[in-house]
Amino acid sequence: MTTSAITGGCQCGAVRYEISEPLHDVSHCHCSMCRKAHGTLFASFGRARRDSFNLTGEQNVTGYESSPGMVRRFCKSCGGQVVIMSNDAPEVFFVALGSLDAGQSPGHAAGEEKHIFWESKVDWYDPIDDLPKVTGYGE
Amino acid sequence: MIFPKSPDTVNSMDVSPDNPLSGGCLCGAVRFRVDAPAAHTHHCHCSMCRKCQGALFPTFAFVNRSDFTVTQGADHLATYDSSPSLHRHFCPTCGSHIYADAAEDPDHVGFSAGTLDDGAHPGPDGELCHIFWDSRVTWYEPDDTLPRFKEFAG
Repeated sequence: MTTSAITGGCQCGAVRYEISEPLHDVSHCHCSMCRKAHGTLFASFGRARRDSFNLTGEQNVTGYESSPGMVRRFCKSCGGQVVIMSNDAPEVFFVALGSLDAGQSPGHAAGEEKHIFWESKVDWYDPIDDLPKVTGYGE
Repeated sequence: MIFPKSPDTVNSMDVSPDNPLSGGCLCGAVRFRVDAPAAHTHHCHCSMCRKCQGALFPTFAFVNRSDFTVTQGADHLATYDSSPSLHRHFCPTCGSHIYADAAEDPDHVGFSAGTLDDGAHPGPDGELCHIFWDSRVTWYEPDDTLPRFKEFAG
């Protein structure tokens, strides 16, 4: 491995993870489900191969299936959202980027970052940046 | 003092007991009502807020406790104390962080603005700012024109 592992977890530390390679396709999601699941104006995710992702504290994780086949996994103790798992993409996790240690970068390549579900954004705050803004997943 | 300004100073016609804001968690187990506009709303970049909610900067809206009512699921809420005096209340079914309160400031609560229904604005006449700006993530920075404070401020 040529780069340091990416590490993260929930606030209380009951759930920890290590990712052995950079994440991909960072998405700042403004959909109403992400807003409510996190209680925030948007939630940011990066894609990790499951093979690269090592989680400890599995017994402290619970999940909520917010839409069919899509499970948001979070810490039972502190409520920290950690990853989303989707049946449509069984080989990857979508890592909640607020859970990365020390605000570290997910390591994604330039150009692999955008706002998704921009049409669902709250109308009273715009973070203002030059990232692409797309409707839905933009696909 | 944890919450630096009294929400009493805001007087808006937009949010009132007759026209409250409503919100809740993702799964619907917990619902709340807000009877007054938030006097100030903070995008918090501290590491505890980031990790508790798994997002880059949770947004808290501050109101008097008497203007904030959990209308459903109060007994369902779980509490995590991220520091001895700061209590964060979340839905254990879906993980939504609903509100936080502090032992030193029992008369106020800060609720998670993202849990308001329909993306509602928590305080049309109140202040909006960034706090704990220096703790922001290294790789993303909003370029808005809001005030940025190093610590809790108002």
